Amino acid sequence: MSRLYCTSLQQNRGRLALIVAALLVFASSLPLSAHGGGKQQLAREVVGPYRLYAWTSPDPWRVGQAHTTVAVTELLASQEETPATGVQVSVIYAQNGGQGERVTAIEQLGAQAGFYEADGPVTTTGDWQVTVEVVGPLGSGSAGFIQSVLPSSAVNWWLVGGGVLLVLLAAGYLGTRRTGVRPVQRGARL
Amino acid sequence: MPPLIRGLLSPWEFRPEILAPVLLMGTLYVLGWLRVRRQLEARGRGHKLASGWRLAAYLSGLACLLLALLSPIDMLGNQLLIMHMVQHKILIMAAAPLLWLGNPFPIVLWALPVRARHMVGALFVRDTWFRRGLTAVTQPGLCWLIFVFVYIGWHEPSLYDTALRVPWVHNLEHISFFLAAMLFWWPVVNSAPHLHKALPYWVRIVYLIAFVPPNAIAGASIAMATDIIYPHYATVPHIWGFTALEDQAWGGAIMWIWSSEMMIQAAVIMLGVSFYQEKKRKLAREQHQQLQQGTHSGAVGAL
Repeated sequence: MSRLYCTSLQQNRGRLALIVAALLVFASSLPLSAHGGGKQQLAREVVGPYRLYAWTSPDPWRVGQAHTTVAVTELLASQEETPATGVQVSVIYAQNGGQGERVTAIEQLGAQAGFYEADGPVTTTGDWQVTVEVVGPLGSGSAGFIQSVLPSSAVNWWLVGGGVLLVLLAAGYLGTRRTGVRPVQRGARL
Repeated sequence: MPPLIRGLLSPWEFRPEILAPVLLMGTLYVLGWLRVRRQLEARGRGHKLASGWRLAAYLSGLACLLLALLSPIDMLGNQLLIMHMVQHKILIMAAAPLLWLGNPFPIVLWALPVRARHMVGALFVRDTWFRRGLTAVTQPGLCWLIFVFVYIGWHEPSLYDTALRVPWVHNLEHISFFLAAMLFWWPVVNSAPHLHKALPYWVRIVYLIAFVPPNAIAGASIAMATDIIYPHYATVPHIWGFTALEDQAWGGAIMWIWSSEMMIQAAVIMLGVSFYQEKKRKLAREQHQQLQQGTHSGAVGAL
């Protein structure tokens, strides 16, 4: 059986390696989707006929890494909120005293209806004024907040990942060494 | 259509960092399952190790992982405690036991290339440090404690709120929930590698039922709270037809009732399996006795 099995495995080894490599390349080549969460900056802010919510991520912002999630709702007569879809949401990033750069937020669909996402071009450290502008059929308005930007992270995650991998490999190698002691458990088996 | 149902029926997310490992796990299992089955067929043996129901259980476990992490349940979990609780239940009460039922260790081992298989196998040789370490940390009592600690611990308000605010903490929460659940269900399902002696069925039933009181206390205290415990849910838009307090009451109830009920169901299944095994043993004993009596009377007749 084992010889037959080994031959079968050798035939399929290349195929398996190809699948694994393809999956890894597939996983690493695509950008991670922005996925909720973040530090809340605005909550139930009344902006014209709309209510505005805003979150920023990561926390804190670092040079080159500034994401803003905006949620826009409309207030119904029953005082219940409903997602405001199809409105124009812009996020203006301006370093204090400087001229701002306007970014059109991208509208999310499905379960994220009423949410809008924008990546900010924050290129320098310091305080940035962030203004969220909403223009829709019911009216328009804006609200803002100030967010500090820190220098870009000095942590090299590739290096950290490599270090962890190395530690795991070393642990794996040491783990295969025999203790020289017979296990106490009875009835245990592989 | 109620807004929540409309939200749940919306498209799934595309997250390669989740899709890739799940696809890898599925590919390895199916490859190993096919090989083991071919080998067993070639030797004229039954398909007990690579049976159809094991494949179905494993793939269902993977499907549960995708449902919890890629479906709108995940997106809605940031806005509703109810959906976050449902997501956790799918991860720990459905995905983990289903994956163990597939008995993935020997199957995936057979899918690996010879050298990799030997390397992994070497870790589990009887007297290696790895096996001894793993044996020490997977004592059933310790598995139970780790799971309860992780499960209850993450519901602490400041920790839970941090998880909702910081994506990597949220991912850590889900990973730790899932791994702790895998530890918890291991001695119940008694899947390979068998590092410990199999627990008697009555112990497994006690093990499962013992989870109900801590879970019920935590769930009930969330469900019956008159103030908002998790401030995050008070500051998100309430667009799904629930106020923050209603959402919290329902979320707590899901934790309290659904989880307890699933544990009791698992205990009932264990009871059924133990009766079935006992019946099988009794039948085998009777057949053995009949065979012995037949041999004895045959021998007397021959005399």
